[in-house]
Amino acid sequence: MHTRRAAIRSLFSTSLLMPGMLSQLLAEESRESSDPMLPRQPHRPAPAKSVIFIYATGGVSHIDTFDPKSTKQGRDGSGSDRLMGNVFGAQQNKKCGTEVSNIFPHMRDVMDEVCLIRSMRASHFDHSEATLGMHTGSPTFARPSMGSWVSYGLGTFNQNLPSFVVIAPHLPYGGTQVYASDFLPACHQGTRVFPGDDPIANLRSPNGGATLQQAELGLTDALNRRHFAEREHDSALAARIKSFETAFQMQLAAPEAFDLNSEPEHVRRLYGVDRKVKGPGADFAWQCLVARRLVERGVRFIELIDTGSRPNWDSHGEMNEHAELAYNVDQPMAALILDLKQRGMLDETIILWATEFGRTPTKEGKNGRGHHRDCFSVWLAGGGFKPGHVHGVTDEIGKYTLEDPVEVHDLHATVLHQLGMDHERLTFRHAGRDFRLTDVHGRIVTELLT
Amino acid sequence: MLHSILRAINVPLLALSATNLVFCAFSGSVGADEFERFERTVRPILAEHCLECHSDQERNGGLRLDDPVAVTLAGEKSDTDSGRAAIVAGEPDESELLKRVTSTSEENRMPPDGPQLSDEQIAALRAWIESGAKWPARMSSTSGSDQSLPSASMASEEQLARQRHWAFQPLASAEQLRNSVQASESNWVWNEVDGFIQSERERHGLQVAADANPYALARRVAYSLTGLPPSTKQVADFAQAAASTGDTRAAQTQLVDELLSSPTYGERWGRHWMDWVRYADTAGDNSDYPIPQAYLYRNYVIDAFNNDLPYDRFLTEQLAGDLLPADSLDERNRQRIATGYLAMARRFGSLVERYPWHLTIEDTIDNMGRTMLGLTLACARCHDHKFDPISTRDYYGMYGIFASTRYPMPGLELFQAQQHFVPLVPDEEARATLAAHQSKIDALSAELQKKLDVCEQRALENAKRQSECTLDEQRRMNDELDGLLIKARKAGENLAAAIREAPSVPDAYAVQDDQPRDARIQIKGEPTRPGAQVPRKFPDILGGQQLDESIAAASSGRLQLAQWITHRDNPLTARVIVNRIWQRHFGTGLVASTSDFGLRGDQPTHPLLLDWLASELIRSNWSLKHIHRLILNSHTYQLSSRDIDSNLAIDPANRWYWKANRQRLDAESLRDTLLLIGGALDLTPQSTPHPFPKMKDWKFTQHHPFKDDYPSDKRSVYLMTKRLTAKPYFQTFDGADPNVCTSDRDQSVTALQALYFVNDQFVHAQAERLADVMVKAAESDTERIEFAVEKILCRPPTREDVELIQAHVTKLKLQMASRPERELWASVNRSLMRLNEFMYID
Repeated sequence: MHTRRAAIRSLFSTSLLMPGMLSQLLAEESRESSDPMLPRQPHRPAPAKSVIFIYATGGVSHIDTFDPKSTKQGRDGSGSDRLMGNVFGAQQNKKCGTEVSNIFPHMRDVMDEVCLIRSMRASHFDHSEATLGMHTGSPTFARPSMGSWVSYGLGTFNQNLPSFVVIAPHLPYGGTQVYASDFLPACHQGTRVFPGDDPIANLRSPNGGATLQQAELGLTDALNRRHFAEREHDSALAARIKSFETAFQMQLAAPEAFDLNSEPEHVRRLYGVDRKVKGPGADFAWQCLVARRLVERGVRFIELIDTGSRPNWDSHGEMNEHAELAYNVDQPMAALILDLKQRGMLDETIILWATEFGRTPTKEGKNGRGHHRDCFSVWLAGGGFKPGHVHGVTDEIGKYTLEDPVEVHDLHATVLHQLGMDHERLTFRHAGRDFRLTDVHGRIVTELLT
Repeated sequence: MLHSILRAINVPLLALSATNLVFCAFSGSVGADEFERFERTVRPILAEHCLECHSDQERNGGLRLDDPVAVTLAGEKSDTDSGRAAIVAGEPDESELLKRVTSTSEENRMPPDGPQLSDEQIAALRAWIESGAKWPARMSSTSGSDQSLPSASMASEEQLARQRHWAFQPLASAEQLRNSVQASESNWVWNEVDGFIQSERERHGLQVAADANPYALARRVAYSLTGLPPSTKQVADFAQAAASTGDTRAAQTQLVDELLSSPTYGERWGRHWMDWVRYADTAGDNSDYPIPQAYLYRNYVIDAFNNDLPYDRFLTEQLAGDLLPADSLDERNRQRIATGYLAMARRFGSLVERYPWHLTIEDTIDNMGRTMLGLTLACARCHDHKFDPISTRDYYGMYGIFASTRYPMPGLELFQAQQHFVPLVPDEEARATLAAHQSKIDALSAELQKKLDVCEQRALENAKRQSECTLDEQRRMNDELDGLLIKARKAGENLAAAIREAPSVPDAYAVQDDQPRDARIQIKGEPTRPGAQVPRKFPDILGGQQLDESIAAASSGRLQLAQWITHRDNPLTARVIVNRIWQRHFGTGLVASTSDFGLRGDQPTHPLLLDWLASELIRSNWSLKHIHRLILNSHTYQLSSRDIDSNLAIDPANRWYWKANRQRLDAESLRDTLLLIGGALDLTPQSTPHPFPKMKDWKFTQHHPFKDDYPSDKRSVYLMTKRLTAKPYFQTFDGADPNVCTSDRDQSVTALQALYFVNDQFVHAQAERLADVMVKAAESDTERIEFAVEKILCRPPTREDVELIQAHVTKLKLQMASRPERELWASVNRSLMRLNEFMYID
């Protein structure tokens, strides 16, 4: 690096070029060699380049959604008459035959694009822990989020947008820890985005004048460059000079990325952006369509969180709550799959839908279900995951996994694998130890892959 | 695969905890036939299947099978983590080894992965144990070809290397240190620090940078000690003194003294301590229960720094202040509050009936290890430390001390009240206040404890029987346990309700002694798999001290732990803190991994300097201010941050301190400075609790966690910090993570930071407030420019500065003719606040 730098300097030492130009070149040089956000080669060539992680907060009942069970009322092992099957009825996808409950009709129709896991096992029986487990691999101690690990491992394509965007109208359990970079460098933390007119903080000038802002930045830049000329080996200073240019660009790029007005009518209709929806998850069509626009613009990892820590899928007393929540997310999620497919982007994008755990086969309260850790469903689409595939089998009431259990660490290892990263080599040295997303566990579930 | 078998068996942890090993030599007289048979049928099984995890190198579960003297025998209590004997000579059915290789349970089976041993192999092991488990002494082996077994001598070399690790050696002697300082005297050397630095620098053929200019230096030292810029007067005095004497030496000494005696010093260095001990005003459980009393500990820390409380005393009070004698109520309270350090350990979950105390204790040990000793002790919770000589026995030796300590309960979703906080009024007064309620609370507490004990007992039984019973039986057992747990939860709710009805006395988030007890090892870190009981002790590598019997019976042993940690023969404590101080002044530590002095950590760049500073700390009665003076009054600290081209090729990272390291302002310094510039910083300390809701109204759950925010214009150290929801500002500017020891702050550069400077209301507000002052204070453009540059950059403007800024002003005057003047000057201020010169300390 220093040789190259010296070369650049000597190249200009006898020229008449402005000193400012020299420092600019050097700044570019040091930026390239030190910028953690530039795209990097993965460990191996891989099908997927980006991830859209859809997180359904509260614990979605597998029995009433993607692993429907037609259990009649009956007796479970504890001897009480509390067993309850899928309350919504179910139908098969016409092509692949996968059965999905009637509250997800749009998703049912695209199941031939989806790789469904019915044998997930949660890392904990309670919300906060299991939510953190699904996001960071650790249900107890704070660790970096999956999106931060991906950003750290691969960088990002668009320097004018954050590498890891979290679109979350409300915070899930675990608070900001779910998208924190923890001990990874801060540039890899999730940037939280709010549906609406002001998606990212500080995108708009408080005094509104673009001309004034430009003049101010011009003065800052001139003074900064003079300061830098005497400190030209400090790449942090160069990076910070550059960061103001990026920030300036972001003020333009970000609002454009989040503005759906340019989307044609048929696309808006596909996602249901203009549908009448209410309640938790009402922004979900906006979230899904923005996610596609962000992937198109080179954002590496996007997380969509449908609901916050309350109200959400935690239907202890009334399963019919699931129907309203499903209505809000079903069509947009299916649209996202179809839209990416139609644009030829699905192969390079992993869509992962997950929740923290499933719900019990036994009734709780009037018509609800409790938390269930031993089996639940998650699904993936695109990114080299087998379309139309169902992995894992649960028993007839949806209580235990009979075949092919998948742990959270396995899921993480497999997602990283499809991005070209070896989960055992994606490490960060912190406080005397090499940390991994998958801790000391994780098996690549090759049965899920094409 | 036998190798993996032994992973769970856990025999004696040899070399480093040989104290209670039973040496029962199988060696002795082994007949030729037996020798032959062992070598032919048994040793190959051990070599192929066991030794990977159970030899001197790994000793998983405290078991090693590469050395006969290491395997505990017949009838004696085994020293494995599990507390069971791997091999009982003549009794194959009593031998855990045989149980494990024949087990089909996932938990117990050995080897843990892959196929099980063949029937033939199992039969060979059985026959060998049956016939007395005779084991020829290792060194007498004549089959020199057996290289798959690490030889005893190789093994001990590995151990020796661990024990010889630099950090575990005593500090260099006074004589050694004196000699090395004398070796390098020159005009450049101002004090001993410079001697050590200069000799290494010269050895590496590096030139030394010029001294920094007085303005840069005044700013540097002010941020170093107070986290705030110097006042205009301090800058002027410093520059003038430097000009009149020709160097900054005298001026520096004076400014350092002035800053060290300012209360802002304690706020700055208290904040550093809070980084390391992961201070927060909430507990970190699912619902993030607020701890209104936490601020008492924070203020204790700030005061301790301001009063230069001797560091050994500082640590002792935080670990065992409640066990120290006190002459007055104030002193007693201060010492009680100090143990808020232990209370500050993270809380988890939402349930009182399955509360994971083992995780809270792990967090305690983890933080104590990193912060005070520079060791990653918590790695030994599930297995012996992979790299450092810390065994599982060492871990549970310390665990017992904290298991004998009563932590306060800050509240949980299913226990919405505070319990076991420590009163700050005289005991009689506390008793009198609670008199009417105490018996009810005691009865309900006892009821809860009884139910929790029943649950624990049942959980242990279930775990033990799990592998042997059918699925149906397991379900029934679990359902029964669930029933018991619900009863305990109800008992907890009754108790919490009673506590909420009772009046409260002023109290502290602090600890007390509980029933003293030794802990049992938790196999693989699982509390439901108890193993051998371990006496409370300090790690062997640091001395291995144990509690006297009488103390062990009467106390947790925290006071003794504090004494062991602060003992002058402990090679780590003084080194770790002087290195932390160095790191915060220079941006890097003499040992770069400031919280890890273990084998995987970094080597010291200047081991003798580190030892000299550590010796000075001890010699000065553990005065941290003395260490600051030594460092800040050194010539090394005065160096400019400018580069020297020829040095860059040799030492681009400045490991040898030939210049100063430029450092980015941390989140707190940035916010405090902006407020100060805007004239809005409230410098009075926060001496009352944050305006939390009243405990009677607490209904926080994981669905509705505590999320309040209490903005203020006080210094950032006083802002209320939550564990679950970080403030976006602190996320953007690399604030400390209140969940874990933050060794040092990242200095990231991101576009979101730039957006903050460009558009954030807060920045705009401070720029405007400063503009109001400028417009009143000065008439001419030039004067106003001078005013702004001095305020924001702490130096007079250069001619070029004035020209560039004036050009901007002139342009704006045309564009903004109709607007108030303050808007124009706010624009200038914003431009200056965005400068690298402002954001970095040169």
